[in-house]
Amino acid sequence: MTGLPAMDMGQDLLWLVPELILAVCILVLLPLGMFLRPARQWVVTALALLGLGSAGAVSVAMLAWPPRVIFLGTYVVDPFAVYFKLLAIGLTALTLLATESYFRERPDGGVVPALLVLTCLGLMGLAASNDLTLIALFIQLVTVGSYILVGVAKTDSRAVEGALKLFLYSAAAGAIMLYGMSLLFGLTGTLRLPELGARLPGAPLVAVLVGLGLLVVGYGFKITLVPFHPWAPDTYQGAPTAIAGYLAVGPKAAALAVLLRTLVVAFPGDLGGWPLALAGGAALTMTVGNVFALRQTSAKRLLAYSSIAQAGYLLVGVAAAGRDPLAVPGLLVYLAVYLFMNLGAWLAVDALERQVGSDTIADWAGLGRQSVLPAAVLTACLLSLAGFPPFGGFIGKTMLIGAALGAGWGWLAVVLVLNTALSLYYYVRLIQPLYLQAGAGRPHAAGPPALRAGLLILGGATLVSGVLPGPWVALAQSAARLFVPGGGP
Amino acid sequence: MPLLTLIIFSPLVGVLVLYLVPRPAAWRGIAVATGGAVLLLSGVAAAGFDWGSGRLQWEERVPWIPALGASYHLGLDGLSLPLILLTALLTGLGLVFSAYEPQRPREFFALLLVMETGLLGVFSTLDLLLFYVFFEVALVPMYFIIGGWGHGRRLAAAMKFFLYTRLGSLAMLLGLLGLYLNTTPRTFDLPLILAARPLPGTDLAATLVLLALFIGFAIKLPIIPFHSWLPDAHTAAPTTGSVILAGLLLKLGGYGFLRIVLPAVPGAFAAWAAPIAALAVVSAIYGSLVALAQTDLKRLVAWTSINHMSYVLLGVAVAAAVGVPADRIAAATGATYQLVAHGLITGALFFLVGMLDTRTGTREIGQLRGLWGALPGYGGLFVFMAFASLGLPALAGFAAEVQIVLGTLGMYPWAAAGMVLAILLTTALFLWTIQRILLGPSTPDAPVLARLTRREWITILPLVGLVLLLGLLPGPWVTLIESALRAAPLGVLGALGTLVGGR
Repeated sequence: MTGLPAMDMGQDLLWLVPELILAVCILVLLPLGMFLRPARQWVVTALALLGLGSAGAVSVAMLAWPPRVIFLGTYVVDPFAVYFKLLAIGLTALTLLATESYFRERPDGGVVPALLVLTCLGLMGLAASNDLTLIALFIQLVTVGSYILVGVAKTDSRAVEGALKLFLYSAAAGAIMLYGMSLLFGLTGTLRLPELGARLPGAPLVAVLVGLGLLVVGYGFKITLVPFHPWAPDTYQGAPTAIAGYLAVGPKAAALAVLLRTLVVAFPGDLGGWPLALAGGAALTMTVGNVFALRQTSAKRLLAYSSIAQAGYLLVGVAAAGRDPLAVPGLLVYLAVYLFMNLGAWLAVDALERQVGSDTIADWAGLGRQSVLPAAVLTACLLSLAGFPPFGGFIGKTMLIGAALGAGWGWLAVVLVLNTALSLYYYVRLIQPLYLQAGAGRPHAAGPPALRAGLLILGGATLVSGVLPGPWVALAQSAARLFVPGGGP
Repeated sequence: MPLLTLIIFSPLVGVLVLYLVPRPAAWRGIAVATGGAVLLLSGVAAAGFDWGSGRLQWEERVPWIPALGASYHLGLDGLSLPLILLTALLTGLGLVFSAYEPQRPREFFALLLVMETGLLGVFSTLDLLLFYVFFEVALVPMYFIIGGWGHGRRLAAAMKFFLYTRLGSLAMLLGLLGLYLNTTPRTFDLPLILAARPLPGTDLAATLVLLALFIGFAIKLPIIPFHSWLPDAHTAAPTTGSVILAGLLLKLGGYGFLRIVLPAVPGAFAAWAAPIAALAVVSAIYGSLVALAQTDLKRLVAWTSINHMSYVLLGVAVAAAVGVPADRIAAATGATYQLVAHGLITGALFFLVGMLDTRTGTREIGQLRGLWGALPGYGGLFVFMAFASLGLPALAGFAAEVQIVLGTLGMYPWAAAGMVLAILLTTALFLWTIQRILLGPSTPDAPVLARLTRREWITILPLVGLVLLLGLLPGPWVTLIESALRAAPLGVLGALGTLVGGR
C-alpha cells in the first residue's frame, strides 16, 4: 500500500465535499422540520433539494477526478463510487418531489426530508467504503433512516408492522454480518478490503467461506437476495408508497455496489467460488420474486416482488463481474435505469393510489383515461421493467444477458430470459385495467405539481435512456474501468 | 438524403400530429394521410432503387451505442424492399379500412402507426440490436389492439399472444447475443458479423445460436408446435389487427430466417435442415387439416396462414441444405416471394372476412349460405382471393409455391411431395369453403346485405391488382430478390449478398 499513512487528512476532506454538504444539510433540516408549521413545510423540502443539488453538482465534477483513497485507506473516491453517489442523490431528490405533498398534512412529516437526506448519506458512504467497519456503520445508518421513514406514519398499523419487520430482520442480519466480519478480521488481522484481498487467499478456505457467507447475509438482506428477502414485501406495502419506491431502489443499489467492491477487492479471483454461488443466488432471487409476484392483487405488493426479481437480474452483473466486460457496465446501466423505471413505477402507483384511495389492482379499471400522466408513466415504466425497448430497461437487460452468456453461464441467461417472459404476465396485469377495462368514470384531480414533475422526469428518463443509451453506456464503462481493485492509485 | 429514416419515423410524426390536433373529425384524415405518405416515400425508395445490382442501397449509418458496437445502420436490398413496400401498403389500406373506427379512433390509429414504425424498422435495419428494438416495438401495439378493440375473449387472447411472442423475441435475443459475443471484436453490425463468419460450422455454439434463433422466428411464423397463440389472437383481433398480424407480423419470422439465420449459422442450419424441413411439411399438412375442421371463417383463414408460412420455412431449410446454387436460389427466392404473396392474399382474405362480419354479424360457416347471389361483387373477390391462396397458376401464390417446390424437389423429394399434398388439401379446403358459404340458395329469410362501400373497394382492389401482377409478371420481382440472394463479392457489404449463393 503506497503512501497511505502520509495522507494529509485536511486535504482528504476535499474529496468528501458532497458528503459534507449533505451532513450540514441534515443538521439544518432536522430542527427546522420539527418547528415549521405544516403550511411552511415545503421550505424543508426546498432546502433539501438545494443541498442535494449542490452535492450532485460537485459529484458530477468529481467524475473526472483521478481515483483516490482517503482516511487511511478506508474510504475510496473513484468514478465507481461517484457514480453511485449520483444515483443516490438523484433518487433522493426525485423521492422528495413526491413526499412533500404526501406528508404535508401529516404529523411528523417535517422530519421526512432530513431522514431522506440522512439515508442518502448512508447510501453514498456505502458505495465508497473500503473497510468493513465503515461498511457496517453505513449499513446501520441506512437501516436506521429507512426504519424511521417506514414507521413515520405511526397511526397506520401496516406501517408499524413494516417498520418492525425491517428492524427485526436488519438487527438479525446485521449481527450475523458483524460475526462474519470478525471472523475475517481474525483470519487476516485487517478490515480493509485491499489488505483482505492480499491475505485471504492464504487463509484456510473453510474459514474464508464461512466469513464470506455470513457477510453476504448482511448485504443480501439489503439487496433482497433470496432467502433474505421476506421482510421486503411487508415493509414496502406498509411504507408510504414513495418511501417504498425509495427503499426498493436506494439500499439495493448501494448494497450491490458494496457487494461488488467487497467481492472483487477482498475475494480476488474466484476465491471460494463466489461467482458461481452468486449466479445461483441471482437465478433463485429472480425466480422467487417473479413467481410470487404473479398472483398479487395489491399494486404495491406486486411491485415489491417485482423489485426482488429485479435484484436477481442485477446480481447477474455482480456474479459475472470478473468474467465478462459487459457485466459491470451492464450493472451500472441497469441500476441507473432501474432508478428511473422502478421509482417511476412506484411514484405512479403513489399518484394513482392517491386518486382512487386504494392500491388494489381491480379498483384501477379505466384509470388510463382519467389520470393520463400517471397511467402513461406507469405503463412505460412497467414495460421497461419487463425489458421492452425502446425503454431503458432493455439495454441494461441485454447487457446483463450478454454478460451471463459471455461468462459461460448459458443456463443463467436462459433462466433470465424465462423470468423476463414470465414477469410480463404480472406487469400486464397491472397495465390491463388501466386501458383495456371500462372504469367507473369518477372525478379526478390533477395531482400535486411536484409529483407530476417527478413523474415526467422519470418517465422521460426511462424513454430517453432506451432510445439514446450511447452516452450512458460510455459513462458506465468508464466508471467500471476506473474502478481500481487494488484500492490505491 | 436519409430516406429510410424518413420512411421509418414518419408514422411517429403522424402519431404526434394526431395527439396535437384535438378535433376528432380530423383524426382519420391525419391517419390516412400518414399512411399514404409512408407509401409514397416507400415508392420513392423503390423508384430510386437499382433493382439488378444486389447492393445495399439507401444506406445510413450513425453511431448509436459505440461502446457496445451497435450503430443506427439502415439499408435496403432486394430482400427488404418488397417487405417495406408490403408494410407501407397493408398498413395504409388498414388505415383506410378502419378510418371510421368508432371506438377511440385516435388510440387505434396511433397504435397502428407505431406498429408500422416497428415493422419498417425491422425490415430496413442491418444492426442486430436495432433489429431487436424494432422487433419488440412492432409487437407491443398488437397487444393493445387485440385487447382494446377485439371480440370475445379478447383479454385472454391478447395476453396469450403477448406472452408467447415475447418468449419468442427473447429467445431470438439470446441468439442475437450469441452472434454478438462470438464475433471479434464484438459488434451488432450484421454485415460485419457475416464478414467475420463467427459460427460457420456445426459446433455447439453454432447449434445453440441456431436453436435460439429458430425458436424465436418459428414462434413468429408460426410453425407447429409453436403456433397455438395464432388462432386465438386472430379470432379475437379486430379486422385490421388481423390483416397486420397475418400480413406483416408473421413476416418478421420469415424475414429473420432469410436475413439472419441462413447467412449467420450456415453450417448448423444445413446440418439441421432435414428435420426442420420435415417439421415444416408436418406443419403445412397439419395447418390445412385443422383449417378443414374450423367452423369459424376467420379461424379457418388463420389456420391457412400456418400452412402457408410453413412453405416459407421449407424454402429456407432447403436453401440452407442444397448444394446446387440454382436450387438454393430458387428455394430462397420462393420463400421470399411467398412472404409477399401471403401478405397480399391473406391480408385481403382477412379484409373480406371482416366485411362479411360487419354485414352478417357472424363468421360461423354453418350460418353463411349463398352469399354469391346476395353479394355478387363480394363473392367474386372472395373466390379470386381463395383461388390465389390455394395457388392457382397466374396468381401470386403460385409463383411462390412453384419455386419452393422446384427448389425442394432435388434435395428432399419427400418434402416436395408433402408440400404438394398440403397444397392439395388447401385447395380442397377453399373449394369446400366456397361451396359452403358462397354457393347454394341463400336462406329465404336472410336480411338484405349492403353492397360493398367505396371505401371497401378502395381497400381491396390494390390487393387484387398486385396479386394479379405478381402472378402474371413475377420476373422483375424474382430478379430483385435474386439479386440480393446471389453471390456478390462486393467486399464487406457483399457478405450480405453471399448469404445464399456463396457459402
